[in-house]
Formats: sequence, structure tokens, C-alpha cells
Amino acid sequence: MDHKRKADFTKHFGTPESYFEELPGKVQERLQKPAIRRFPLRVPRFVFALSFLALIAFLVKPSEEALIENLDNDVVVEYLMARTDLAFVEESYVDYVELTESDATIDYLIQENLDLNTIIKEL
Amino acid sequence: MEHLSDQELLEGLRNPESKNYYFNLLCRKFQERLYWHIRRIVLSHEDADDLLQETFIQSWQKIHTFEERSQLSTWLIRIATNKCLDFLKKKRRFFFIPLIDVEKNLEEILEADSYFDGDEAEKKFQKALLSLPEKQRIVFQMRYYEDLKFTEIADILSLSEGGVKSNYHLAQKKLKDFLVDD
Repeated sequence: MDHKRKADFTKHFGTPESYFEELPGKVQERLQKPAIRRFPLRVPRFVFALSFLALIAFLVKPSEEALIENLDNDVVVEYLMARTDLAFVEESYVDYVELTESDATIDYLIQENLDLNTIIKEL
Repeated sequence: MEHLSDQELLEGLRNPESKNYYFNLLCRKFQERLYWHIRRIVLSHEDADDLLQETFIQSWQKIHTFEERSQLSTWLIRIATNKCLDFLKKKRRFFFIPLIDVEKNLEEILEADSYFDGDEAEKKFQKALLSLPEKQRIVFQMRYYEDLKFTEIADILSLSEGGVKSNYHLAQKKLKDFLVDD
């Protein structure tokens, strides 16, 4: 180590001799410490990415109420239909809506928080 | 202890009863050389200190896998270099910092290094080094400062000898251009 480098090293970190004297001890000390479980760093990155996307999707997704409030009735009908996978329910519901097409009916259904199965039961 | 050969160190390290003692000797023998190797790559003392300790810890854990196809020093430099490259890679990935910021960060460390105070020529040279792509910079530093042979550098970086030579010559040319333009 040249003189200038040595003087600079000493100014900031102690003499190089003392630093290098202590280093093997520091390494031994670290070796004797139990390994720290770096849990988050061991999880595959794609798991983090998926969790992050899921969180974003969760935060961005509007509540059902907010969605319904902001939509017109036609869209509400489609939205409610999309919530069930029972084709006959959808058909029945469409018939019901077409037959009774009135804002008041739909508002009532939404306000009462009725799901499609309940609606069908009421038909 | 400086005069202990690789073979003597390895024999001591492979014996569980003397492993601790010989590991201490291994640290003492190679620590200074490894420290400056790491410090030239990451620039900051704190990072170099941490990476040096990690290098020794890994060598402790993996010494049984060392097949003696290269010198012990080459093997240790390879571990240290990989630690440095991983460190820089992690730094780049951290909070999606773009590539340029890490180089900028290294330049800031360089600016703050009082070793270069008043030594503008040396500082300019170090800045020129930082302008090189990472691999070229490391190859150049190993050859220029550590006087390693091309074959050793190739072994450390898992590159072909031709690849190392071409990286070195490209680095030389770019440094020359940088310093002339500046």
C-alpha cells in the first residue's frame, strides 16, 4: 500500500494494520453466529411479483357498491348476470328484468343486496 | 505464515481439528490482496469490508469443493469477484434503480474519496475507468493493478482467454479516447 493510500485509509478507518489484524476475528465471529433466516430474500421473485399484482388488483378493484352506483341499469343487469355461472338463472333474470324493466326494481334489488339466487327465488 | 504454501493451507483446512487455525492463516495471507481487489470494484470501504468477510465465509463453507485446478488465490479472487458482481447487480435491482444510477453512485463515492484530493489526473483516470462497461472495467483493473495473467483472469471470470484479451484491449482503447477527449 503506498504511503498516501495508507494515510488516507488510516484517516477514515484506522490503520490498515489494525484493520487487517482484526478482520480474521470478525470473520470467525460471523461464522459462529447462527445464520439469519433471510425469509423474504429466499422467496422466489415471481411469488413477490404475483403478490404485488394481486395487491394492486385488490386495491384498484372498486367495491361492488361503488361499481353499481356508477353504472346505468343495463350495465348493472350485465354485471349481475356475470356473477353467476348458471345459464338458466341468467335467462330467467333477463326475462325478469325485461318484463319488469324499471329502475325502481333494480334499485330495490341492489339496495337489498340480493344475489341472483335470491332473486330467482323471488321470481 | 506468509510462506505457507497452498498445499499446506489446504491440508490444514481439510482437517477438522486444525480447520479454524488454518482458516485464520488463510485470511491473513490473502486478506489485503482481496480487500484491494474488492475495493477497486465497489469503491467504498464499508462495502468492501462486508464483501471481503462474505468472501472468506464462503471460502470456509466451500473449501471442500476446491479441486485444486487453479491456485488458491485465483479461487478466492473468483469468489470475491462474483460477490462484487452480485452486489452491483443487487444494487441495480434494488427499487428498480436503472443502470446509470449505480455508475453515478460509484462516481459519487469516487468524488468523496479523499485519496484523490488534489490528484486530478488520478481522479480523471478513475472516472474514465467508471465509464467502461463493468466486465471491461474489471478485466482492466485485474490486469493493470493486480498484474494478473490473461489466463488467470479468464479462469476467474469464466471467460475465454481471447475474450479477456479483447475486453482488455477495448478497455484500453476506450480509456485512451476518454482521456484524450477530456
